[in-house]
Amino acid sequence: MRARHILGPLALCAAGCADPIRSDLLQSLGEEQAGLDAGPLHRAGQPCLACHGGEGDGQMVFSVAGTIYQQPDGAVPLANAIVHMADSAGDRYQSATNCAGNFFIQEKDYAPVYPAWVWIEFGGVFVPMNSPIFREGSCATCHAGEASDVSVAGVYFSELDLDYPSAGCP
Amino acid sequence: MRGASLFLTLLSIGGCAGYDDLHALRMPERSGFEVVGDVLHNHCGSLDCHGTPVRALRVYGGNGMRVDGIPGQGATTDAEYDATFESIVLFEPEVLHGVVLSGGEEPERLTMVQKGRGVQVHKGGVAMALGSEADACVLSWLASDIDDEACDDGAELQPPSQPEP
Repeated sequence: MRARHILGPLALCAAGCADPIRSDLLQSLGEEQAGLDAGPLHRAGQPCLACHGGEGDGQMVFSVAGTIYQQPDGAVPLANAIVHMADSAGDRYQSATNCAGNFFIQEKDYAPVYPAWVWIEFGGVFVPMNSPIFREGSCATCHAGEASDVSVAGVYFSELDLDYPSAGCP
Repeated sequence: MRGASLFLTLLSIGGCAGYDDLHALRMPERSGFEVVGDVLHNHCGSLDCHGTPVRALRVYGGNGMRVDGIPGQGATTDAEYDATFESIVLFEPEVLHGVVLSGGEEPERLTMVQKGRGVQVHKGGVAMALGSEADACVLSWLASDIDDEACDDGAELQPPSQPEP
């Protein structure tokens, strides 16, 4: 009898206590791209921490992760760029983008104390982010889709059409 | 009688009134607010914090949520200072009235001050520490005596040095 009293509310909670905002976000991300399994190359341009923030299905937990493109149109990912971070505690960390333009920092390796500052390095050139990050680990939460009054376009290295080395994914 | 007037004013605020309907309440000055707005923008108004329409307290500005424009492109406009000002004075108007009426005494009555100092649970942690220039700037505004120097210093967020290649 006592067990039923406890399990009943727990079962109800399991069915209805999910975060509706997060649920909506996950639903909006859709299925995996055909022919591309879950892994370091998947879901470029999406908010990584929706699944990899410690509460989702992603196996690894990220503190910061995102996708970097060559230009503002987000058409071509920027591979082999280095993402430098420096936080308010004075700690620094760096990670590199893969062929999909994705980079990720595992929380167990580096959990920045906010605000934190970011630079993208490519070909010896450093491009700083205009403003610090205050709490959001998914780049795509603020840098997604078309630029608008509440969203910056995807993270990009330069507005110029530079001669990048070819680095497509196999 | 004054209490009844205040009560009626607060009732009208409950109906989504705007700043113009707050005439019966003492509010901090909009004049000179720009320097305060810059502090709030730099400490609170990034797109991942209060620079988003999903927050109850919204902060607008050049690198955050825009009234009309793209974040990161162009300086904060008068319309954005207006929008931030209105967001703040409409957040807890009756408490703000009391703080301003008392010359800025006990500013910690305001949720904004408590959260900024990290005294109340705040996802963004301590955004404007007690005794910091940013905190002093906001308090001076609440006391109707804006400390421009504190605001100028408080608006600065010095980034760490650029990494070495």
